Amino acid sequence: MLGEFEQLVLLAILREDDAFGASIQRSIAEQGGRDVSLGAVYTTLARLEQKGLIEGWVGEPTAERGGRRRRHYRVLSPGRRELEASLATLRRMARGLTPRLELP
Amino acid sequence: MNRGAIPRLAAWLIAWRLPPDFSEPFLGDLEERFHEVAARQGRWAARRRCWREVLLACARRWPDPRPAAVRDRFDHGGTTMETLLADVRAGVRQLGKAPLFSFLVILTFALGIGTSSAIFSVVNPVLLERPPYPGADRITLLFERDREGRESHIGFATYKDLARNTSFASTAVMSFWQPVLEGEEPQVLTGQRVSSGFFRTLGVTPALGRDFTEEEDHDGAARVAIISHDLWQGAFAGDPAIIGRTVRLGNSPFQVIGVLPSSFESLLAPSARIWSPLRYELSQSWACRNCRHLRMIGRLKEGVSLAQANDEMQAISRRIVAANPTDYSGPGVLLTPLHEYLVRQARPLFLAVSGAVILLLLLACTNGANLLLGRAVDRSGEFAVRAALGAGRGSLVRRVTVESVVLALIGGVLGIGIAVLGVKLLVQLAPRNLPRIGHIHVDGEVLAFTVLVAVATGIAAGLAPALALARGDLAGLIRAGGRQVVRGEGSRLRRMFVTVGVSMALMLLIGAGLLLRSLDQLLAVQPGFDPRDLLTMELQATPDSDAAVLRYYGQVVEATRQIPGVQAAAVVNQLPLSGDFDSWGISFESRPVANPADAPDAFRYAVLPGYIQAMRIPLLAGRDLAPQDTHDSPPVALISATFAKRVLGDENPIGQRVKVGDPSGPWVTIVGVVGDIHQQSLDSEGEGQIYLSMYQTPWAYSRMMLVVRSPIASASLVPQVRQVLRQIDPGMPVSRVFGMNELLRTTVAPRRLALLVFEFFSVVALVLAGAGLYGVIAANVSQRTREIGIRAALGASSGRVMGLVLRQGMALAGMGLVLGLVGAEVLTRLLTSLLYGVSPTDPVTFLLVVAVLAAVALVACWAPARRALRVDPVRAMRE
Repeated sequence: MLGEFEQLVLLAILREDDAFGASIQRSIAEQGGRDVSLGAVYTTLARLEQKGLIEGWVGEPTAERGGRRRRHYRVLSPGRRELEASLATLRRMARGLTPRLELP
Repeated sequence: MNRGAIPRLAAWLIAWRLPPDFSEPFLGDLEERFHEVAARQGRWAARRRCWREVLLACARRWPDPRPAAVRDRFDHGGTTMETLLADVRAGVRQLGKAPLFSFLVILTFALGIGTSSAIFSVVNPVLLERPPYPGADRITLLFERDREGRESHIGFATYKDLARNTSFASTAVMSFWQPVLEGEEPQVLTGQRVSSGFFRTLGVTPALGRDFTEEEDHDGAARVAIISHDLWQGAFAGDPAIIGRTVRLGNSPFQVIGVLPSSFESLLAPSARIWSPLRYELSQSWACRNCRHLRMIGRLKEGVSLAQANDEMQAISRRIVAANPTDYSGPGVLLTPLHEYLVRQARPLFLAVSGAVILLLLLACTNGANLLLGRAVDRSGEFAVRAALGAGRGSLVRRVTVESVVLALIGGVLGIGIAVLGVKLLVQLAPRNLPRIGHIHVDGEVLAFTVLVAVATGIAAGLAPALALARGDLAGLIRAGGRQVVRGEGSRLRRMFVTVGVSMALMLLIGAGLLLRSLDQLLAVQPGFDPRDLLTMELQATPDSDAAVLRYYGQVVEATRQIPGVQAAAVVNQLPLSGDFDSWGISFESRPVANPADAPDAFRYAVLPGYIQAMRIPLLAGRDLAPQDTHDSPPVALISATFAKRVLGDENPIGQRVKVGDPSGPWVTIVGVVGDIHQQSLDSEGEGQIYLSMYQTPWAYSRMMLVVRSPIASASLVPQVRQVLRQIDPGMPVSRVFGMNELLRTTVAPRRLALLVFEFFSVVALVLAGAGLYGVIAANVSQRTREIGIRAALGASSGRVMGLVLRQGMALAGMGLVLGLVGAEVLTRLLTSLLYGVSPTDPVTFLLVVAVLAAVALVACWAPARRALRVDPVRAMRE
């Protein structure tokens, strides 16, 4: 079962065409409305990678990064399955509660 | 794109804390975000955000990048940071387990660290920081070299010649100024008259208004003034229209043209708050070469070294002297860098105090180490268990060191409290003329210093037990259940520490002893007059003509003498031991010198007749100055006995004639010989004095010191005198009201401060050394309980048992004493300039201090020795 923050990170990776640490952080801030630290994003990425849910690779250095390389991520199929399962569970649990929770 | 968006420290932290795969992309992301945020919210917000990210990231738990198998093989989990944190947590837990021990160690460290921080916060602004002017290291003072090779102020004509050089970007001269600010309550201001380039030379520009111009620095130019921020806010209530406002100083209107920045510190005239152009012309009589009353400063051009400037100035000086041989006793200009000029008086005091604090810190370190070693012995069992469970030598050593650093840091926090209190005390006791005294406080630099000292102290003190563990044989430790290894190695070290501690305490005590004896000797020095029941105050006459000034002072003294209870009163232009300095060349008719500049110097006092009596300076021969010695009678003088003897030998000085200063002035007949006084300080020697009637000096002094001898307490006398003065002239300001005894105390202030510091340190040192000795001997007795029991069982008398323990303790103390004597022999030389009438190796002091310390050592060993006596042989053997 995925943690909530892991779900957010996975969703952010799926949203972005080209996902990396800063873009994931930005996406969670802009779409999710939550300001999270880059360190939290990175440790979660490391955990997801260790679990074999995502895959990371190193890109080319760019100037706006002070000549440093990016580490890109994409979601692997086990990750996609885990995420689908988590979201399905969440939806099932929330079903029928919409009036009481004032969900949008 | 610049790589510098991420602070280097932040990048370093990330590289250290994050797994290697992550740190590069992390920093890259950070930099990208930085530019984003900077574009939206500015660099400042971006920087703050960046730091937040870095710190949050460092605080997180990062996965170990190594494969699980490797991890398990090499350590018991966690990265360096995590084990360190675990050690810190364990260290804090240990403190709770042995509260008394922790308290003692923390107290020891707090004393050492706190006092050194307090001393550092005083030494840092006074001795170490550059003066607060831009390019301050290029500002120097320029002096003429006098006969004895000392620095002498210069005359205006000499300045004009010296100013024509190629080494200095600008030069200026300054003189003292004490104008009276007219108003409802007239106020004496301290200020400086300066040549127009003064502020340019210091590199200071007024915050409001403008600097002086060249045109304003001429006789007859409109009078203008620049004031300090403080005076603007105070006397002028921050008047926004201050620039251009006309203020009355003395009898003349001055236009305020500038206000200095609030950050400006007047280091060359510490209480100066107002500046005005000098307005000298070479044609004026006070602008002559002999009129040496100006201080000269210069700002070296960029790229010109002090040595180059020195060469040029010496060449100019040689030319000046060749052209005016009778005005100089020889060529030579002395260049003194500003920083050097400001700190050199305070330096001997601070070197001595710093030396003392380093000793105390070392003593605290060794004592802390000693306590930690003792604790390590107690914990040998625990270490043995840890080693048996697989803890490496490294992890044991690390744990011990971290614990010690934790203790030292807690000690450091307490120490900051001590430092804050100590600094308050020091500032109160510090001599008033200490440069930058207002800047002494506990600031960020001091805190950084404290943390540094605390960590260093912790590591240094922790090193000893750590080394004992590291060198010890772990296998042996396990076998012996922790009894043997740490103990053997540790107790050798502990004995060494105790010895060193005793030696350092001895050095501090000897320093204190020498200073105490110096102060005693110095206070026993007779100033040459009777300082008791003597009230002094500075008056400033406002009348315009010399005759009116003289009449005015005559009235003042007459009226003061009428106050009931006043025994005598007089005025004088300079007061002994007050910092006043008015020294003139005296040419004797019977001892002609080829060059008037070679005439012997004496302090010259212009007095109202009756001054000698009022001060109770003994009249040794001839007569005193009398009211009949006025401007139309032949000029007469009194001279001091030693001065007469130095110049005239055994010849009778009475009836001899001298010229005071100006070779073209009138001959003055010596009519009396008086006792010597100390003008500059109690330890000054070989000063000469000459007293003239103020009615017979070439001009009248508008500023005079009133001296009043009366047994009435100054609290009720001062208002009476003030009332008398107000009746004569309500507009006359009074300042510098002192009892003469206070002035005496001021002159010994630096020594008193040094003494106080040494005394405090010595008491702490005595306690620390005694406690260290006690700790070692007590531990030793408890280790040897069995042995002592056997001895007692075999019939050793109580005297023998006690002797056994005492002998061991006193042997340690004795070694410490010998070591300390050798150290003191070297270190007391640092104190030489603060000593008076006592040699740095004064045998009396050395013997007394050794006796005191030996007594303390005996007491420290006594208690454990008594405990040894109470050992019950039966129980001891059964254990």
